Amino acid sequence: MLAWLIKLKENIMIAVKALKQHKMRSVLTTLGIIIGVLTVVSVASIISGLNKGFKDKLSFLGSNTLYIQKYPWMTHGEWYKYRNRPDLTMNNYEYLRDHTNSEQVVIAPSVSSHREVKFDGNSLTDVPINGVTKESEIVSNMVIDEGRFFTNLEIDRRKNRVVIGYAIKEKLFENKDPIGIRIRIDGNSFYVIGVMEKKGKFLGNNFDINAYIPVGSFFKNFGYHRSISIEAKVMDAANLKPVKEKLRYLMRFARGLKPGVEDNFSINQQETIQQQYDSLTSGLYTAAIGIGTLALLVGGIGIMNIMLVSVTERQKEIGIRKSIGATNRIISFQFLVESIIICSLGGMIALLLSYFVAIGIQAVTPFPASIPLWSIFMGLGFSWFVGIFFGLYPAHQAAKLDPIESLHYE
Amino acid sequence: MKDILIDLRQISKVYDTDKVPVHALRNVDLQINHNEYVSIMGPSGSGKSTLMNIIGCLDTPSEGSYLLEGAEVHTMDDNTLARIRNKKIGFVFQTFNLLPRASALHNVELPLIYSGLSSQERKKRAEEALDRVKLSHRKDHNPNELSGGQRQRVAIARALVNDPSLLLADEPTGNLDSETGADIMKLFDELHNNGNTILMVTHEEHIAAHAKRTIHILDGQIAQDKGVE
Repeated sequence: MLAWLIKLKENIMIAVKALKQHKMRSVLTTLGIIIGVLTVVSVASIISGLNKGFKDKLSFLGSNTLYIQKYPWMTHGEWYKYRNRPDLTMNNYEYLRDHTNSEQVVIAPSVSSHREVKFDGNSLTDVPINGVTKESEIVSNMVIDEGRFFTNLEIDRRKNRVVIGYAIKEKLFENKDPIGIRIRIDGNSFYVIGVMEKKGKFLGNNFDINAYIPVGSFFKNFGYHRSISIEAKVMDAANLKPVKEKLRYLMRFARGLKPGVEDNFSINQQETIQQQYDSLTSGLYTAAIGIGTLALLVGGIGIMNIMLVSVTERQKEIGIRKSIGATNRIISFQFLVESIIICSLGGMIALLLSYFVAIGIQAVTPFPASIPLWSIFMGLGFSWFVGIFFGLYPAHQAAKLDPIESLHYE
Repeated sequence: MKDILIDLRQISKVYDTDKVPVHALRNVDLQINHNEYVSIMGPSGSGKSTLMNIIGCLDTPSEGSYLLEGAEVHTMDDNTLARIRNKKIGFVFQTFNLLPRASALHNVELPLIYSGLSSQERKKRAEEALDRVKLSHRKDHNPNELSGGQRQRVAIARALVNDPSLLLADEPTGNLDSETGADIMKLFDELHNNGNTILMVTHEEHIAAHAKRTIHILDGQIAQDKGVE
């Protein structure tokens, strides 16, 4: 064991010396490895960054929440089929609410419209104004940072009261206390009663620019003729399926659909987006691994080529080493170590570059990027594998050289 | 001191070139004892190099048996032969055959690396060997910074470092001027006096004259064996 460590150390030193002697050649040789590892690690870092953000932000949809809507989220290009469906109405909402158990499922309407919000000379355009009920607080996980949420009375009486998002407080009120202040939404005046907790941004969407008003007030101010969606939060995840079935039955019944007739509404859930996202990222991974493998293959052939050159160049050295007692195994080990070191060098350069790529991506795109630990090991593992796989043949060639011929090689 | 070091019996070597087999050695019988000083002479193509390669365990005979200190060399595989070369044989070549980009000390250490010695032990023994060839002051120099004579001394130190049973020299003065050559031969004489067994291939009479026994090879056979003790 000790003897092997001594020989390993010697072999590493030989390899490092040989690489120093041919710096340019070594770096060019590793180019394929660099490109291969860089591709895989960079894509992995982008996707892992996306994953992080996506999982975080997707939770605003709530994994236990069902969205009863006119359109399905994933249409597969057949959107025209859904255009003639009837709009969802407040009557549908009330019907569902009255025929379900609120301990099992909490149901709220959801309707929104982009409007201008003004206060004291400051104004924000295109602010999503959302009509809510008491249940929305539970269904949409609304957390109040300052002030309070609506009372049942305010909802029932369709009061012009508003709960604003964190960014609206920052932008419109310049961080002054907004509670009890009157603002104008599309010219109508509303009292601010609460501020929502900060939620953050994802892919360019700022969830903190949102305002919430009682749903009745919403229709009163912005008109009754619009399609709403109905959100149903299932309290126990295990009940998701039966509840979904029940809501579907109730909707079909309310709309008088006969058996065999297709649904004229959709019940969407987060899982649908998750599935779509997963298939997208797995496609990206497959592509990256494909490109990476190709580059590694090309790089590996380059390594093999250069190692064969190296074996020929150092045939005399091989002869000398053999004559003083290096076994075939030691000689092949020497060249294998050299090829592994070249490849590891490439792998490490690639990891360094991918770190900068990740920083660059974060700087110029809205995508978050982070290098996952596993991709570092995978990158190094790949380069080792290439080093061993493509180093074996040259190493074998070196080992089987005849010592006498090699000694006389000039 | 009559114990046999090298025992060759009916050694033949045939090279299968394209069509005609070449008989480099034919039924050679040869015994060399410990602490002998032997030179092998012969014109080129006589088979003396082949003989030396077989004795040096770089090559194996086509036929016959070769015992080195009782070990059956003719049955050994490549790895065992490598170990024998490492422990029992020290080579000195006409062209020195040092590693060009390694210091004198590292060159001398090399056989010890393949024996698996620790670096401290290696360094100690390599320095001792360089001391024996009076070159310890040049130990950190690379071969290209040394004169021909100095390079050959490094090669001799490398050959000696593992205390081999046999020192094999192939035209050791062939690349040196006569004065330096004489110095190197003086060193060989000293080594012989200190108990080393030396086998030397040469085609120069005055070099061969240093040896106590001279073997002439002709057409793959021993033509003459003078001075057998």
